Amino acid sequence: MGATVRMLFASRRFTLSLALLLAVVALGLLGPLVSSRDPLLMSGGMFEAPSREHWLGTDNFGRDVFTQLLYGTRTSLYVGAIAGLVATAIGVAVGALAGYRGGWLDEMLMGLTNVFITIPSIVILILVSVSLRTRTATIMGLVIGLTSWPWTARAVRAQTTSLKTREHMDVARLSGLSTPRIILFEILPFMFSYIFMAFILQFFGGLMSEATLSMLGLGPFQTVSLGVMLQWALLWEAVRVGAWWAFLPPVFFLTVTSFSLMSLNASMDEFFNPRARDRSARAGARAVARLREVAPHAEAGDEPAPDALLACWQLHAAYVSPGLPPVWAVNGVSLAVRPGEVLGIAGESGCGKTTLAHLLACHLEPPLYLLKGQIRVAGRDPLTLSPERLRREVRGELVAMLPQGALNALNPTRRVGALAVDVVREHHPELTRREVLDQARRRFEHLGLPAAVLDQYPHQLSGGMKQRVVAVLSTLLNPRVLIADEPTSALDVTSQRAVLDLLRRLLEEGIIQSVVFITHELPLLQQVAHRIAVMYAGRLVETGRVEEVLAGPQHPYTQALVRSVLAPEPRRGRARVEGIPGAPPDLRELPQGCAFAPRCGVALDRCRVEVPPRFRSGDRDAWCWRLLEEGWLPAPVAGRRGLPPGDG
Amino acid sequence: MRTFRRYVLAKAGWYLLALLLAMALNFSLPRLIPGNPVTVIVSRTVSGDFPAESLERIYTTYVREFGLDQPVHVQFLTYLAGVLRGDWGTSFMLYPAKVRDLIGQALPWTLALQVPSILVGWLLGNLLGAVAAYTGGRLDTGVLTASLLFSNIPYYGLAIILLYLLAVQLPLFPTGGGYTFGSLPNLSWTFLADAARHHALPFLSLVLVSIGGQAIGMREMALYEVSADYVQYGKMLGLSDRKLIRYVFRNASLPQITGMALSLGTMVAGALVTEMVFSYPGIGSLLFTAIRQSDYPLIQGITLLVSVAVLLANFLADLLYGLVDPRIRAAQRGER
Repeated sequence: MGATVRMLFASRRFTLSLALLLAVVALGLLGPLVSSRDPLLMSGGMFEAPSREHWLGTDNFGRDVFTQLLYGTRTSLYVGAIAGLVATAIGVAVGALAGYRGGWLDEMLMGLTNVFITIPSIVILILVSVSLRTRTATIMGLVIGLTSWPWTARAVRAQTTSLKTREHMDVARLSGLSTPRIILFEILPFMFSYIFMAFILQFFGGLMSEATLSMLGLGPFQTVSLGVMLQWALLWEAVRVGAWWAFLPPVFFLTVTSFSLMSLNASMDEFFNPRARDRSARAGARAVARLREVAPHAEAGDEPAPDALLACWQLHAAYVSPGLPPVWAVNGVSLAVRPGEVLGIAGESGCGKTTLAHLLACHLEPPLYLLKGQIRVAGRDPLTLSPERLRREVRGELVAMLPQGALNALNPTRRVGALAVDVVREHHPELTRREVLDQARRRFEHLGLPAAVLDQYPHQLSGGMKQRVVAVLSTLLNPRVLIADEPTSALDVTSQRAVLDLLRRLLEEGIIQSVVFITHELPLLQQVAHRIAVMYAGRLVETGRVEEVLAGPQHPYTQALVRSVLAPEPRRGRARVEGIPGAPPDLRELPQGCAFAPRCGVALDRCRVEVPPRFRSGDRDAWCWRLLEEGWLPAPVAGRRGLPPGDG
Repeated sequence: MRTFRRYVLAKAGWYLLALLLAMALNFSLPRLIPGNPVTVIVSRTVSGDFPAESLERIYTTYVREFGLDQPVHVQFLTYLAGVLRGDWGTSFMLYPAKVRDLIGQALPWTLALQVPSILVGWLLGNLLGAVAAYTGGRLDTGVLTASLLFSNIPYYGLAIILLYLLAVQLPLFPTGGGYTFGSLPNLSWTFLADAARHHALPFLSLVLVSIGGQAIGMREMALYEVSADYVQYGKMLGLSDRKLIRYVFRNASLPQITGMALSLGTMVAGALVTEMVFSYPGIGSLLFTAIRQSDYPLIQGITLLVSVAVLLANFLADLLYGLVDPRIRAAQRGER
C-alpha cells in the first residue's frame, strides 16, 4: 500500500490534480474566514466593477462577489461530497451484495439498477426538488446521491464477481464468515482504489448536478452555491450587461474543481489499469539510448550466408518503460533462413521466442526496442526503410506473420472476404474489390478451404478453421518468408494436422519460400522443420539440423527439453516424461554467466560467471562450457566435438 | 430469429417498467406538495380581485383534472389514461393554455438544437478519441488534456463564456432568442437565415462539450482495441494506419452507442440549461419559467417528455447495438 501510494505520487498528472483539488477544498474550508462580509447582504452599488473594496465587484443587488465565491465554493463542494458519499455507499453496498450473492438477489438488484440508470436522473431531481418544502445543502446532497448510485453499483458488481473467484475467498467462505464480514473484509479492501475512483466520479457528478439544479432555480434556500451565483447572473442579465466578474469566477471555479477531479481519476486509471500505463510509458528514448551502450558488441564472424532469405545477427532487444526495469527479451541472436527451409525455434514460454518473431517480422513498436543488431530480408535492410515503405514493401510482401493466438487476429466485425480485400488492396490499390475477392476465392479453394468462409464473420469459424484462414490471409501476397508463432498450440490434433498440411502445401506450391516455425513442442518440429534453434532466456543455446539436434542434443537445456517431451519409443508413448525442474529466469534480472546454470544439473563454477561462447562443430552450434570437456556429449553426433570456442 | 425476438421482448419489458416508474414519479409530484394542491394552485394562479364565480370554476376544473375525490390507484389510472390520450393537463401560468400545446411549440426548437449537436459531437469526439488512442504519444496526451478541460467546463459554463465573448464582447452573434425579436416564425429564407444565426452559438457550445466527453470515452474504449490482436495482425500485414483506425473506430464505437444513450439524460439536462443561457425558445427555457412560476402541470409534462425521449433512445440504442455488431447479433440469435 505504501509503495503504491509512493508510485502514484511519481505520476505528474496525479500530483498536479491532487494539489489543485486540495487548493480548492482549502479555499472552501478556510475561505469564509477571510471575508467578514455576508454573501447575501448588500455592501455596495449594483454591478460595481472589481475594486480594492470589492475584489471581484458586486452583483445586481450590490452584494460582494468575492465573498459569494468563497461561500459558494464551500456549499458546492459540500453538496458534491455528500452526494458522492451517499452514492458510493449505496452503490458499493448494492453492487457488492449482488455480485457476491448472485442468483435471484443479483438479478433483482441489477434489474432495479438498470431501471434507475435509464430513467434520466435530472427528471427525478427536478420532481423531488420541486416537491421539497425546504432545500438545504445537505438535503440536496442526499437527493442527488440517492439518484446517482446505480452507476457505481453496476461497476462494483462487475469487480466483485471477478474477485469472488479468487482463492482466498474460498478460504473465507469455508471458515464460516458471514456475508457482510466477507464483503467488508475480504472483498472491499481489494478494490479500495476502485471504490475511491468511483467516489471521485460521483463527487464530480454531484457537483455538476447541484449546479444544474441551481441554474434551473432549484438550488439550496438562503445560501449561495456556485450554481446559484450563475443563476443570479443569468436572471439579472449580468452576461448581457457585461459584468464578467459576476459569472466568470463561478464558471472558473466549477471548471477547475471538476477538471481536477476528472484528471485525478484519469491519472489513477492510468496507474491501476496496466494497458493505460503501458501507453503513458512510451517515450523511453533516453532510457533506450543508455541500454544501447550497455548491450554487448557483436561477435565477429556472425554475418550470415549470402544466400539467406531472412537473416539477423547479434540482435539485442528489450522492452523499455520508464520507471520499470528493462525486460531483456532477445540477447544477441543470430539466425539465417535459406530458401526452401523450415527453421524451427524451440524453447519454454518466456524465453523470448515471440519477441524474436516480431523482430524478424520487422514489427517493432514501443515498448519493444531494438538495441543492436541487423536484419536482412531478401537482401534488404528493413530497418533503414521509412515506416511507410516498410509497411508497403516489406510487411505482407516479403515477410508475413502468422501470429500467436491467431484466434483473435481477425477483426470481429469484418467478414473474412472484406479483410482479404483490405490486405491486398493496401499493397495493390490498382485491383478492384471484385478482382481481389475472385483471387481470394481461387486461393482458398486451391488450398482446400471452403470459399464460403469469405462471406463469414470470424466468430462463425471454428478455431482450426480460423487458424487456417489466418494462414491463407497472411500469404495472400505470396510473401517470401512466413513467420508462424505457435500456430498450432491452441488446437486439437486434427486441426493441428490441417494447419501443418496447409503450411507444407504453401511451401510446395511455392506460395512462400521459407517458414520460421516457433513452438514449445519439440515433436512438432521433428515433423516440419529442417533446422532448429533452441532458445533460452533470450539467447540461443543450440542450433543445428533437426534430426541431429534431437538425436544428440549437446546443450543440457536441449537435453532436458528432449527428455521432457520426447517419449523415446512409441510403445512408451503414454509413459510419464520428466519435466525440467524450476522455471526460466526473470528476463528483468538475468543471472550472470549462463542463464540456464541455476537449473542445470551439470553446471560448473565457470558457468555461473561467464556467458559461454559459441562452440561450432560442422553444421551445429551450441553455447555451453561443458563442450570444452572431452567425452561430455552423451549421444553420438556427427563431426568433431569439444572444439575450443571459435568462428568455425 | 426467435431468440432475437425474445431479446427484444425482454428489453422492452424492462423499459416498460422504467417508464411506469417514471410516470409514477411524475404522478406523485403534485400530491407531495404540502397542503391541498388545488387550493395552493388556485391561490398561486389567481391573485388580486377575481370574481368568485370564475374562482370556483377554476377550482372545480383542477379538482376534476387531478381527480382528487377518487382513491389513489384510480387517480393513477386516470392520469395514465390522460397521458396516453395526449391530455397532459392545463398550464397554471398561462391558463387556460394546454400543456401539450406549450410543449408542442417549444419542442421543434429543442430538437433542432439537440439532435444535430449530439450527433456531430458524438462523431467528431469519437474520431478524435480513436485517433488519439491509436497514435499515442504527444497527440494522445494533448487530446486527453484538452478533452478533460473541455468536457469539464460545465455545459452552461461554456455557454456563458461563449455568449459573453462572441455575442457581448464581439457582437458576432445575437445575444439570445431563437429569432430576432418581433419577427414571426415562418418558412421564408430570411427567417431561416435569422434562425440559423441564433442557432449557431448554442449549437457550438453543446458540440464543444460533447466532443470532449465523447473523446475521453472513446479513447478509453479504443485503448483496449488498439492492443487487440487483430490490430497487431493488421500491422504485420502492412495495413495502413488509416485503415486500422477505421477498424478501431468501428469496433470501439459500438459500445459508445449505448454509452451515448446512457449519458443522454445528462446531455439533455445540460442542453436544457444551455437553452436557458441563450434564452432559446425551447423546452429548457420553458422549464425554467415553469419552475420559477411553480407551474406544476407544465413541469410534469416536460419531465415526462424527457423521460420518454431518453428511455426510447436507450431502447433504440440497445436494438441498434444488436443489429450492428455481428458478435452480439450472434449471441442474440444463439449462433454461438
